[in-house]
Amino acid sequence: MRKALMQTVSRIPLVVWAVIVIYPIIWMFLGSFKDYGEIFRSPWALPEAFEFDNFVQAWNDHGIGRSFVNSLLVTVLGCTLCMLFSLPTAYAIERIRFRGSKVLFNVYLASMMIPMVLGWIPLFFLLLQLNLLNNLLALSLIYAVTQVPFTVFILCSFLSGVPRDLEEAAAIDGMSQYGILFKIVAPLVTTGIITASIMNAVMYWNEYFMALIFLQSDEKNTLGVAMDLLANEAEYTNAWGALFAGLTIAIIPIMVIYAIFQRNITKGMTEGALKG
Amino acid sequence: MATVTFDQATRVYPGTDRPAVDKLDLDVGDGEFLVLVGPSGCGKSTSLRMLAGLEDVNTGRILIGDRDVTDVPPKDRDIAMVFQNYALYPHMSVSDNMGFALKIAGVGKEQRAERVREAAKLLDLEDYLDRKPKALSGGQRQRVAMGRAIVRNPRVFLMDEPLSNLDAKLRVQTRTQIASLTRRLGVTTVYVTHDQVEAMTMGDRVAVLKDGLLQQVDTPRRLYDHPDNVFVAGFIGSPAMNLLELPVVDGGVQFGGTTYDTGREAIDAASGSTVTVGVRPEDLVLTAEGDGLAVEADLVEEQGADAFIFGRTIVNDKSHDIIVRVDGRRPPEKNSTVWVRPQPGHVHVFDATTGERVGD
Repeated sequence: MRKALMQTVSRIPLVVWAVIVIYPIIWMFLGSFKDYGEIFRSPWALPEAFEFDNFVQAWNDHGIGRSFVNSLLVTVLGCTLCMLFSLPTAYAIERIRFRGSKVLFNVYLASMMIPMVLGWIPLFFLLLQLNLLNNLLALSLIYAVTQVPFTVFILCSFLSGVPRDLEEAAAIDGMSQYGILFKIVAPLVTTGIITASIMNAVMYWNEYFMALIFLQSDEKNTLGVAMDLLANEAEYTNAWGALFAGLTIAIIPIMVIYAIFQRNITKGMTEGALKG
Repeated sequence: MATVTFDQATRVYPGTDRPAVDKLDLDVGDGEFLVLVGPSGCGKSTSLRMLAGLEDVNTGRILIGDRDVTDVPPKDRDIAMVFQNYALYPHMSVSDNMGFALKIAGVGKEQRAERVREAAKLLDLEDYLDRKPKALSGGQRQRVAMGRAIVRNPRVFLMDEPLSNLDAKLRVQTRTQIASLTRRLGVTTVYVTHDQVEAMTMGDRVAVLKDGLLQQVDTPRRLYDHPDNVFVAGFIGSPAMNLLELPVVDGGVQFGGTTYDTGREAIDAASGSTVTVGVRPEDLVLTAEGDGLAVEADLVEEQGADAFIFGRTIVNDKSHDIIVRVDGRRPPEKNSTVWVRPQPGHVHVFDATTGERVGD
């Protein structure tokens, strides 16, 4: 009895915290169904009718649709490229002992500690010279590279848990080194690949500054930049409903994906921690 | 089918001075079942891995048939290996595991399925072909690992302690299955184990290694009856052979109160005033008081048919442990003193300094 009471009491702060975190999201979500008048008239109430005018307006008139596609492109491409770069790198560092492999791993670790801000200006001039400014593919590439150290770090701890015998068995069976990596090892570290990819995806989807600096036309904007523009616009045009709808469009996919893979991520994080 | 030859093959791991395998010379005949045995760290697994191509050969050569495979990658050596932990691909079904090498080799789907089915039949795995390894018992996994090797129809089977993860009963069962299977298939097999019972029961010949050096290669019977040195004498046989350092006297060795005739040549060949004498527990017989060595029975282990006396004896003022096998129906009392002497012709004499066998 006493134990149950203690448990209930100890949960109160957690519940309060959950409400604080979730309430603005729900409020935004409900607001996205209200028209301008209703937002001010009854800001806390449920919408009078669930109409999708705001969503249509945000998607078509405020470029959220286009930005959504752009964001999707850079996120998917960024994640894929990042994994293509990181998996062989992590495998080489973890499994092929060569002179300096330890140093290389530490260099990757250390580079995680360099603030991204320092890279923006040099990257801008680099892209300018390569004629790659305002290019979504270039942005995806930059996204991919920025997350390589983190991804290598996560994957290394997973790879260390794969029994070497499996690789040797595959080598005797006639697989090439890349064959072993992609056909035998990769399926065994799926949890690690998913964990790293989801965390990268969240980062790419929400990224704002690099998109702002490296993309220069409205049709190339990703959601972060587009939402900022829409927020500025809403101040003058009172398109609050469209803003809420846009935000909902922007955050729902990532929340859904996170919810689906959440089990993998928590499992992945602890597994990585123990095997590392 | 093929012969296997280690020609002065040496492996030195980076960062170490002592070779893990030192100038190994070994010939395995066509279709022979050779067992590599020795204590942990003796280089038996390293030798096998060198043959598989998983470990570099620093000096010397390895031949499969007439072909020098020293620098040939594992996949081109036409071998199949069974690993200690089976190394089954966990994300593939049993049939995919077994057919994987064939798939890579470009064997057609139907032919592949046919060969997998044949092997599965041989190993009684037909009902499990669609299962993943995690849904199999230890024994079944072991059989899948065997199946994966058989399907390839290789020139040489390599087995690295394939039974060590099975429970005792299954191990005995599988031991005979593997031995008869490889004999039936007629494939040359190199088998690594640290279990000398496995070595003695399975091998056509057994190679004993210690500290990277080959000690003796012989048939199990000859290893048991004619060990070349003290190490082999002590390693092969369970319980182990009694090894006593005894003084040399005119006409033999001083065995407690009596002189045991070891033969002239053994005594002449020994370098010092003492020799190491080896007698197996079953070759010691109980005698009358005052005849032979006095043994204090610290423990009497009754096993039914036999009983073993684990005791102590004093030779040259030094206490030695000694084991004697006696009739299980009439074992002596614990803490009693018994007198023993070796049966004639069952004594092994080794040089006390070099440990090498002297005489015949």
